[in-house]
Amino acid sequence: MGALDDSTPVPSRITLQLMKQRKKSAFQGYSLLKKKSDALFIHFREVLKDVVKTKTKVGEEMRNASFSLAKAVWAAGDFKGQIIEGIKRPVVTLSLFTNNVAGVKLPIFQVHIDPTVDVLGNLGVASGGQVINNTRENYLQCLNMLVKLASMQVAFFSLDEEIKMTNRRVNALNNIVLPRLDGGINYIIKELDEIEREEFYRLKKIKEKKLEKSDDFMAEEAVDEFDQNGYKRQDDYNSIQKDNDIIF
Amino acid sequence: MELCFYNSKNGYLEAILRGFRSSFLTTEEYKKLTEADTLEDLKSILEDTDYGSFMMDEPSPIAVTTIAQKCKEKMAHEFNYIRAQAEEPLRTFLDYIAKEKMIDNVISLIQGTLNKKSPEELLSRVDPLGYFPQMKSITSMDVQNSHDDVLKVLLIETPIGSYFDKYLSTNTPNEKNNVSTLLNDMDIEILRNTLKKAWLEDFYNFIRKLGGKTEEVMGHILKSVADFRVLSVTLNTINSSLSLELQKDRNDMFPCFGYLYPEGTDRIRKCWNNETVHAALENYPMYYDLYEECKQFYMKNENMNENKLVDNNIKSLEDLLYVKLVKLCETAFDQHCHFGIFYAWVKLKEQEIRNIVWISDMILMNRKECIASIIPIFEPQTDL
Repeated sequence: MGALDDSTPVPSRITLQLMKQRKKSAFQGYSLLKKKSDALFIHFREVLKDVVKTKTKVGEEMRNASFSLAKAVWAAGDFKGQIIEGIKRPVVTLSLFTNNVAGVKLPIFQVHIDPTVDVLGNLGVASGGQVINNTRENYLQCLNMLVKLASMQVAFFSLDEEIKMTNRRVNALNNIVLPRLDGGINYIIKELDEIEREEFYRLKKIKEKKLEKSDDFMAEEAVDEFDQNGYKRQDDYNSIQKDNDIIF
Repeated sequence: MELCFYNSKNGYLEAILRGFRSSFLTTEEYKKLTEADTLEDLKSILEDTDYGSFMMDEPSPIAVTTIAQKCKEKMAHEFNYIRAQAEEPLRTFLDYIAKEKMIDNVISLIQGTLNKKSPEELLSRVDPLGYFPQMKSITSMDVQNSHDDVLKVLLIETPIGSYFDKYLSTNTPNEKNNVSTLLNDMDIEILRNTLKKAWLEDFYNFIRKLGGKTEEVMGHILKSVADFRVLSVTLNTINSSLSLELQKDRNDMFPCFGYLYPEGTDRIRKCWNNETVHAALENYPMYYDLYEECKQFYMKNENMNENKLVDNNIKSLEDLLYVKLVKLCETAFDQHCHFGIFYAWVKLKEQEIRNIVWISDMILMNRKECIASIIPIFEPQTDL
């Protein structure tokens, strides 16, 4: 008996074993992925909370920073041009690190401030130097916060992607693969049972038939005894002896 | 005697200037400005004042810097009108006022040229009060190659050449031909402040030669300005993260006159932190009070709260000095027949421009409650 088509497995004990194993590993995979999805989701919620908090803070900080800039302009005149002219090398640089969260690689930005580059120089030494310094500190704070926000947003999006993918796999395993395997196993068991029943029935039938045959034979012999005794008995005796199936 | 000769020479110009004096923005006009919600409203309110149609041709999204530049141009226009009709010695006096701005312009042109910026861009950013025709040659100055050219341009063609000379002679006693390396290495700010010190001393000597009422009034003003400079430089360098070499340099930026000179400046020269400044100013009650009021701004707070800057009640030294300067200039208008009113008018106009810029910034940032930090000019005194 072969498979009817590709989706129905060949019903034999070996395939039953194989399918049971597959089901076990599918179930294991399912539970592991579910755990991963849960862990990612917890992280996701945390990052979301942080992002919201940081965004509102950034708004505040930028407001403060522009206010201090206005104060600096009040105290020291318009010094924008001077600063732009005086810069030779960048002071602030970003470097990229990766962080491994439940299997997902998230990038993190870090701010490096080069202390050897003196942006302000002696700007405003006669008027407003201190105010300008304060403005610079304010803006640096803002910048740090913005960089953190950037890392968090990138993390947010990557986590989102990863969670969607993991959930897809979890659902696929749960709703498609496992039921299919289950169905396959049930089918095989059913088929095996049926085959067994068939065998059993076949044996029974054969036994019945043999019994019937021997009964018929005995009945015939008895009838023959009333008619003639001689040679028919011998014939029957021979024929009876030839039947090996009947065991005395 | 002095009075009648004064009027015959300068009466017309003084009258014009007193006319300008009445064109300052009044408290009602400042109130109207605070009610503006956008810069467009601000512009239309300014058009109703003496500023008139100075910003007619500006394209629609106006920037705060454009407003400032246009106000300065208007002031420069009025200033040049007066200067064109002035006789000696008023003419030289007015030249001195303009030289302060010329120093700023020259410095920014040098910086821009060293960084290879285009001349048109540099020239559009100069202060119109300090404009002089030879400015263009600075932009085409070839700093790397020809030292003589640089020397010629800086020393001969600019009206502030003598100050450059003083700076060069103090800093490079032997190697005058290393001017270009000097320009490249030195700190632009130190150069600017040294030039300003030389200018201030020159101005002071000039008015002493003039004598009379001018010397009395302007002498007082200039001495106070010199002291303000000393205080500014000290406070801005003591608490900042600036290098220690600057602290030695700053002594070169103290002018050689003023109420603090010579004992005060000597003591301040040796100061290196807040307490020493405190002690040094003890003999000068006015500056002592000034320092007391603003020193909170300069203390390195142990509990550094970010609201320090937003809190309007903590004033920095510059705020207090502006108030003092405005008062000095207002009193200059109380007397007749001296040149102090011209200087006072320029300073007060500058303060008014600063006020307008501050108001525009606050409107842009939606912080109208902070507009009250402006310094009112010629506020009507309520007599008790």
